[in-house]
Amino acid sequence: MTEAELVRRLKEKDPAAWHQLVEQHQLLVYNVCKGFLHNAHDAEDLSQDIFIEVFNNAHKFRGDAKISTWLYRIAVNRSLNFMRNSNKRRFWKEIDALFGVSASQKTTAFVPSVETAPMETTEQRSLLDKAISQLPENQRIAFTLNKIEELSYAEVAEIMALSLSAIESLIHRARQNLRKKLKNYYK
Amino acid sequence: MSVSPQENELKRVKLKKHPMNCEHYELMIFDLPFSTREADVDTALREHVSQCSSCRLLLNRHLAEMQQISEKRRIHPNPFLYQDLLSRIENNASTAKESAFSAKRILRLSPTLMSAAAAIAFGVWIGGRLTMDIQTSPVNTSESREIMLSAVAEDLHLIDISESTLEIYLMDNQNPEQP
Repeated sequence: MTEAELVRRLKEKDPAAWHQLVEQHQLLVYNVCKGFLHNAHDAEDLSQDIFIEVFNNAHKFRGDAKISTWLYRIAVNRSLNFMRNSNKRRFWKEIDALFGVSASQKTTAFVPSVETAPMETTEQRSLLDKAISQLPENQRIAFTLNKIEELSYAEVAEIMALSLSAIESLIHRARQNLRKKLKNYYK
Repeated sequence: MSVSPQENELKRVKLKKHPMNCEHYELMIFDLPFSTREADVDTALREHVSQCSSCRLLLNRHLAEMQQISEKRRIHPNPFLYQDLLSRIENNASTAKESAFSAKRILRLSPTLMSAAAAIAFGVWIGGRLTMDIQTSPVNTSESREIMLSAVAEDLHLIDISESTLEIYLMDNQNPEQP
């Protein structure tokens, strides 16, 4: 099945096309989510959410870019939103703690997150991983997509909707920042 | 990600100008893709690290860290993902159908609801009017009382006039009778 045909059949919600999309791209989506969230459960849940979003919004896909580019874009945006929401939840948790409202008093649904997940699901992160997560958001996205996902500058530019020179600059600054952060830790 | 031979050559030429400039090589180390293994390292960088212990340490640590991150990446797809997605999509669809059904029921019940609402509104209006009448009745009573009082007063005044008229009449006619 060619990509154009796959897109057409996805828009028609053809089960065979959906099966193919999930089989072909699930590792891509999962690894991007996990790269940002560092939590297997969250990455698994978010991957499912992303595929459901794709299923519901397939008719919006114009076909200008490759399916993988579209999926990368959705995965990066959803992962960043998830992290922002986790930070908000953590902020309100801290506020609650400040005013003496314990977690047991509140009957909120369990939402595993980067910060609150138990040790079994949140991995021990390496120095490099921590240093990458401390980079400014755009540098982190560009660096992750280029060095970990091994996408070309042009592909990263398309996913981030930035120019090629902007991506080069972001990756260069990311490398410099990592060098500054890690040089002394490594030695 | 493939790098063209020309780009590699350019890098080599650039680095030959600064053979012992560690900053260049350090940046080169942080430019390596995460799947890089020791054997894949660029020749110029390999030559440099063979002479520079500091950069060699940096390269070895960075390669180890990158390998650690790469190993954490999933390489086997989840065989149940498609089935899980299907069941979630079906669940979502049934939930949406249920909510649509409840919306339909509300719409179907709307004439009844409208009648009930109208009855309640009418009842409230009637009640309001009654309450207003009860509230305004003392005012009316006092008004009618005032009218009655003024009428009585007028009557009394008339009596007064008649009394005075009678008195005057008696006084006037008293003298002729008394010799």
